[in-house]
Amino acid sequence: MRVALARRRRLLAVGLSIAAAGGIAAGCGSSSSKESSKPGSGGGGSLTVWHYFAVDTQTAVLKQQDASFIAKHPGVKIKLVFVPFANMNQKLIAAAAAGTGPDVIIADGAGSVQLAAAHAIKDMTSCVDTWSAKDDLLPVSKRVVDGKTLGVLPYGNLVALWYNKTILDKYHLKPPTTLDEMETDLATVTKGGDKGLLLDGTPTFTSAWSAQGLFTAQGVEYPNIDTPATTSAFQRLGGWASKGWVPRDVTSMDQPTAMNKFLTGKYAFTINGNWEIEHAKKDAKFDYGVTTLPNGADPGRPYISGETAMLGNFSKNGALACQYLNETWFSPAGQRLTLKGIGSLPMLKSLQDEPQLKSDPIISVFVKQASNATSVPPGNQFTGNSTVWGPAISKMWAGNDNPAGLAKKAMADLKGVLAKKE
Amino acid sequence: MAWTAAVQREGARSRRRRRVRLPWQLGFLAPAMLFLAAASIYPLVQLVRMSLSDVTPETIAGHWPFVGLRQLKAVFVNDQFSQSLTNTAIYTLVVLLVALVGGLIVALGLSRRGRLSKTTTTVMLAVWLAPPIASGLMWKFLLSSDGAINSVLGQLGIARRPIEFLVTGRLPLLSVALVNAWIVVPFAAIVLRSALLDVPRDILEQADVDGANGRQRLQHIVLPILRPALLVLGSLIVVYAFKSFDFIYVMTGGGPGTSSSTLPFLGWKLSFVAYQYGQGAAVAVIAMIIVSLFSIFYVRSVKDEVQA
Repeated sequence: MRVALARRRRLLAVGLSIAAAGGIAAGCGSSSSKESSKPGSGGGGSLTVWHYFAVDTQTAVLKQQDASFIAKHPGVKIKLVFVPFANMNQKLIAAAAAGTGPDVIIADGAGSVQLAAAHAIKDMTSCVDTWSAKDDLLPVSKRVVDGKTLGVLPYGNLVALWYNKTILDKYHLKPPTTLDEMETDLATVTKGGDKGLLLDGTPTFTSAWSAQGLFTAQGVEYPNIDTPATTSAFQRLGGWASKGWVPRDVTSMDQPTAMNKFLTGKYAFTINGNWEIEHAKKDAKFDYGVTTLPNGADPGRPYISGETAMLGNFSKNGALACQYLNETWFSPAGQRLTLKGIGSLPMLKSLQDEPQLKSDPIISVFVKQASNATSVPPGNQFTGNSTVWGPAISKMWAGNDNPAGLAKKAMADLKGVLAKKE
Repeated sequence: MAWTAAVQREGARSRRRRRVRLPWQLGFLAPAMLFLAAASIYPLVQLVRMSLSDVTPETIAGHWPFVGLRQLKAVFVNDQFSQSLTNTAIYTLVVLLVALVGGLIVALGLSRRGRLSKTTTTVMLAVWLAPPIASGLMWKFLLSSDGAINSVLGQLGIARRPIEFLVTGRLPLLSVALVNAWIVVPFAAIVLRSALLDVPRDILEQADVDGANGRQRLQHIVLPILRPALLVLGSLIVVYAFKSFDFIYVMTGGGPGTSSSTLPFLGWKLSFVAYQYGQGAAVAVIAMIIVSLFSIFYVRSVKDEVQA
């Protein structure tokens, strides 16, 4: 039976390898053999880490984490393999079908349920139990599904409301705290010839991610969207697009593009993340600030996510991989490294009083926003976010369809997705 | 007329040239054919199997539960499928028409040998060889509401308000199709220019002597001689456009919502976003059957041409 399965995997691998263009095979440092390397202070071994970091500040942090581990374990070699964001999960599943894969994955963990189902990643519960920080991790950092820890967030990323202070000052406006104030500000700046709000509106989960706080403020809690609140939220936000407060072509604008456009100084607001802090410091030629997402009848609550550390199911250096995570990304020094390098929030309770978190006027807002953030829903709920909810929000910003009709269709389609077995 | 007889003679001569038979020499093709069989037929069989099975992340590496035609039926009743099918037809038609007409116009402009013609052909090759991701991104920014194209249209007074090329109605689909056609025009022009250079000068000169004007020369001499090249090119463009994915992925992501989604994009989305590999494969198989119909038409056309 096992031989048959292995044979099937090999055959499938051929097919998937052809389908998944690009030669990632060179980066597969592991094979399907059993674990061989034991952790040790000076022992050898090699680790393959798959990631999709493309921004300089992120890759710099990744390399610093690795350097700190190699400094402690000179015999260890770490091979970093870049896989484009959009291809990561399919590459992992294709590799798993071939009985191989990386030792460590630092990537988006929202599809972790599917990755676990495809045997691409393994349950990290026993690994996390060996970490020095096991009792220090914030509960929101762990992706636990059916009692299995499928991944752990080394840091938190979330969105808040960035504003162009130069534009707001021109109209004697203050950063909004409620949706009503936000609408007043948007109406004023656009009437005066300036541009309004930018956010990711692409037809996938990232638009749902960006607009999440605008919906929770109106009482819409994904995935429980089958309520009248959803219809009125679509009507209200759809109105923002039809009034020109949100440019309709956000539908083809991802988060980095939205930030780049905001940094031109022509737009009053963008809903964007803490990972843009260094970018803004470097490129903004105007006064800017960050405030928490506007509240409505309910608070504006974004998702908290960020990359997730996962362990490859076919790692032959599982113990070393676990030790690597413990001593780098999840150590206090490693967490400070990401805070300093990317502006990402630490996930250790003991670091929540770090001076930078309180003194930095931008980071402190993200810390405040994180206090009411929610986790990204896993499994089918995530699939529904990508295939139904995100595209519906994208259509809402486009303004081609009746918002109430869009909301109704989204409610019906989401039921179908959630009903599927995971 | 003398030159129409000459056109027929030229056609017969070129058909005779094509009637060369090589029975035993086909053995040399065996390695390539074996490679093709391994690289194409095996994945094809797997694709068909997958389209008839319920394949998810959980089952992809193990047993694929057979569900038969139920899966194809489920795909057919999906409203995204009918939308994507219609979009694919529109997309293919736009790319075909623009590429053939544009390619012919450019080819006619470049039909005289010379330095300018060579330089222009080289520049066009660069357009054709540019990676779709790079070209798509460039056009995405050019077509945005505050992009260069809207700026120019605004300054010329052609458009008072920015045209939302990638947002409004069918414009996103048409915009992406036109960008894709822009990439194909150089290829079409190069193919048609080669065919044009083969048009015998003496026939054209005879037509001149007989008093034929430019339109008559094009209609009665050039186009009939170009017909085989146009048929082959047209079929290739249809197949290319039908399976086009990258420009849609980069420029609109199939959106807004699903409004610019085509069959290949839907297949990708079902497989790699919704993790429904079986349904994604079913869409791919349907798309493949439609493309195969075009291929049969292409082969028959070429065969008829040879037999005539």
